[in-house]
Amino acid sequence: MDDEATWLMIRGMHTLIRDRDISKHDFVFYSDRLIRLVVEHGLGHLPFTEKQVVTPTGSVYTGVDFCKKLCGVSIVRSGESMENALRACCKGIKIGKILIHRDGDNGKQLIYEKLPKDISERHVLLLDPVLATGNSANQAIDLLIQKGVPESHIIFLNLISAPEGIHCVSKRFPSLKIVTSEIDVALNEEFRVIPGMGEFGDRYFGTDD
Amino acid sequence: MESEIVAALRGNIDTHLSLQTPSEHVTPKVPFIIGVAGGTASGKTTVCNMIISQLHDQRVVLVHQDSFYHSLSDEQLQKVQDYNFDHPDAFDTGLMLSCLEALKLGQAVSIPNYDFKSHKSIEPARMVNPSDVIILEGILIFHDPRLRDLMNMKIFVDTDSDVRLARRIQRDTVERGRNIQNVLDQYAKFVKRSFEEFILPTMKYADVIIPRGADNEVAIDLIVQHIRTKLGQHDLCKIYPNVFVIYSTFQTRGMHTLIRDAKTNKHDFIFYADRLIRLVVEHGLGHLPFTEKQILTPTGSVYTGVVFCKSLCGVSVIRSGESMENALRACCKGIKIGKILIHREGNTGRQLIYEKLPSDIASRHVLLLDPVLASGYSAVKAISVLLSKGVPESNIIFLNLIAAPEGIHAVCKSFPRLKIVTSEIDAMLNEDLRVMPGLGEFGDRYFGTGAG
Repeated sequence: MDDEATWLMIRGMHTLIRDRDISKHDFVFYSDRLIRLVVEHGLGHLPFTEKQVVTPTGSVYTGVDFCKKLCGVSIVRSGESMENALRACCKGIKIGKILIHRDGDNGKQLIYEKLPKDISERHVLLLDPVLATGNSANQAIDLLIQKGVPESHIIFLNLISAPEGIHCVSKRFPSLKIVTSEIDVALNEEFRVIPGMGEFGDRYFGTDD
Repeated sequence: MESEIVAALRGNIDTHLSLQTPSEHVTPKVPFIIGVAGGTASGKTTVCNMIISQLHDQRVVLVHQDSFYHSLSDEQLQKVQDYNFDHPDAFDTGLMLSCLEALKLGQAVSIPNYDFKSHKSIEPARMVNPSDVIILEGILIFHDPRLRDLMNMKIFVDTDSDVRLARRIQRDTVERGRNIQNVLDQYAKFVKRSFEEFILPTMKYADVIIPRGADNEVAIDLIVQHIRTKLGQHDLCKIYPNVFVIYSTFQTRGMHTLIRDAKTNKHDFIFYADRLIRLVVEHGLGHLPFTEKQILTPTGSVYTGVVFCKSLCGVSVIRSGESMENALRACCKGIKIGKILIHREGNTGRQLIYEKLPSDIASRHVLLLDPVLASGYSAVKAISVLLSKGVPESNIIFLNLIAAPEGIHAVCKSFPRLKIVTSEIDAMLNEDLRVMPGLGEFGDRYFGTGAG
């Protein structure tokens, strides 16, 4: 997101949601606003075709018709916070789910997925607000590709990305697109994003105390 | 003071009306024509799309050489595999020339609609309006010297032939369902030969050669900067540094396409207008003053961010401006919103009849809301009211969806320190002072009070 005013606006909202002293209400409010911008921006990466329409003044306007074959896929639980914004922009959009469950320290295990049947014909907006190591993102993307979704049809939306996660995902899937609102400094030794914003799901769904 | 502004404005509008040809700072007299050539599957279209998306505040039209293929006769159709589509004679260059010459003179033209399945031009033709920038794209557009002479800038996309063949196979087999043997036969028989005989030799006419095609973002950025410099005198954002057009994507363009379409129903009109308004409001809020602030995140690290000035309010110009209040409230909880009504009284000019503003408005930043900036007459009135209440000019941010150049001139000349944030700048006003191409009467369409 590259113009200065939008960048500042985004920075202002990050300043609020990253603050550990913000109330849950404000956290949700400003996260939602940011997510909405990320979703709008992500939709801008869908393919389009030229379309001409006649305006009420009788003149021709040359515009575009955007791709309607799309769906969302949220990574349970944090990704579900992004569904409302997606629905607000795309009425009646189909949304699939993927749950990746950590099974102790011996790697992660996928335990649940429910995706639209015709997902291989759709462009997929993959939703997860924080891209940390990229391990669960890669698992989710693997699953989508295994269902027949072309790599270049996946747009991965997040609010905060760690450089490690971007390397991990983009190296493995070079034709997938990542749309994010800020890139953070690094991961710490516990694989948490620094400066980050803590456990997004807990803060958004209010399960942190 | 106010009457001076109004007089100046009238003068401004009169000038535009009395001129049959658009005045020089409204629409450029001669569009800037760019040719983009290169071999098959070199990434010409992608390069064009990248240029178009970067020139989002200009009116750009893309013309494909493919549209000018000669229709095949039944006899030719029977042996279509022996037809050379990569030969200069396959195109109706005379027709293409006349279309471009008309566009260059600022006339609308209809461009044939070539159907790749039947290999014939079919109805309806595509109407193309005069624009600021015309991009002509095709394998052989540099072949004819008369076409080359029309171009202000010639770009050749030079992509490795192995890469091009690989893409062509992919495109023809996967997207067009053709059999790989046919694709390879055609490539060997015509495509490769024509490239060497006709296309490659035209590279010497190019002003710019882009190696690696669309992957070369540096080259495309430089080209866009050059085009911008050439268009400099027409670029309103350059004349008025306080005019901002929001970052455009094909999604925002798609939303504009929907709300401008006369056939869009009320429900969809509101839905997409609301989405666009929300983006304009978010962008506008980014123009408020801010200070740096450091906070601690839950991981214990310091994040250096910003806080925005909290002393602000909205002011909507009744009735259309009220459509923007919801988006503003969605972004700024509990924000105060004032109203101004400017009522037309016959043809004798307009008269202000109502205003209700926060009493401490002088100490606030004001987001002035009106979705369409046409002549700028009522905007100038509304801004004058705000100034008379003590709001500093530089504290006003005027938000709209569509702005006409005439309105921008009127507002920015009178109030150079005010900021305008808009999502698209249209071509001009017509003789009824309506924005063209515009979207009709916004208030009627949004509030459902139109004739339909």
